[in-house]
Amino acid sequence: MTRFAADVIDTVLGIAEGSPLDRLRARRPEARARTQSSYAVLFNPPDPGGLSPPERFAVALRVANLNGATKLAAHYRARLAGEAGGAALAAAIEAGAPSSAITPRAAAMLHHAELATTNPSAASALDLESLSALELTAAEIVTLSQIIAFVAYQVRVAASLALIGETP
Amino acid sequence: MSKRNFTTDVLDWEAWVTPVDLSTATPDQLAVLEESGPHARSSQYYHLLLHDAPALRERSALFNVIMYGPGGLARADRELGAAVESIVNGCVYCTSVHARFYIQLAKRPDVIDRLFADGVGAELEPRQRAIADFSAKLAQTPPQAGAAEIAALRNAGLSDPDIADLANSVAMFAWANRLMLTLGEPKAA
Repeated sequence: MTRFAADVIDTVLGIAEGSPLDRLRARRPEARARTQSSYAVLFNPPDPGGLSPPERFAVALRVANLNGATKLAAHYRARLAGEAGGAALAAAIEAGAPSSAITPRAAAMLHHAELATTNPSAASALDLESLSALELTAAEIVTLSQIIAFVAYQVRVAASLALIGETP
Repeated sequence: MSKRNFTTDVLDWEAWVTPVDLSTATPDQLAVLEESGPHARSSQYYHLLLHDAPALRERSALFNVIMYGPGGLARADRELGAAVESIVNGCVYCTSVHARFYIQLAKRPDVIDRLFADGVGAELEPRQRAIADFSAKLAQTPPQAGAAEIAALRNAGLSDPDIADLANSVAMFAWANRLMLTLGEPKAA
């Protein structure tokens, strides 16, 4: 926990205390704090339930990569690599080919992440049925969806801050 | 973007997996529902998200500060960003709610009429055009907003804190649209 207690967006963007982007974010302290606490409940949950930490990081890594968010992808890759078997799983996800490192259950979650990230309006009840068929509970489906959707949010907050900082 | 039946009518939303039954919800789940806002108690969407109450608690607080937090960018402009993001993603439900809020706050139904008729590239006044351009490009996957969109927002009079408020709203709807579109569907109220 302690290792990741620092604000993730500040860390990945290298926002230093007192810098212009730090002062900009400080104008909305509640938004900054709740962005970080949203990350924390999804990626450092006190009770991960049926959705394991490697599954959570794997999905986040895929969503970050689909968004071209290289810095956030590096963050999730590092967190995944910190889990047992995580480095092989990260490599398999990023190679984009079928691999024994990816279980059918993880493959289904990654497939769903791709759909929800790139073409969410094409999703249907059948997509959730195929997750249920792999014994994901309703609660796990909700948490999976929150992770996918949170990373969609996080990459856009980070991209916008970087853009504001870079545009003279 | 395919043609969709965008509307400002009040819609309902139905979940594709079983929501939490409030009669068996924990005290903490019920507390999160209360914190989420006045509409949460009667909304199947919120009942579904209660399956992960800690995540919903943080998200609701974040949503409320981004959309309703005092000062900064006018609330109408935040709603316009949310509506444009929702049109890009084809989220008919989110669009209906936030187009309605925009019209209530800005008193500009004509802006929404144009966006519905001609898409997010519709002809608009410079300020609304700059907001719509930035929002539509940030909505893309990967996000496509760049220096040109930031410059246009600044030329339209937005400060950097205003732009950050707009970006937060668009980003929040990148989140909300995906929950709404992948966990259930709108239906007539």
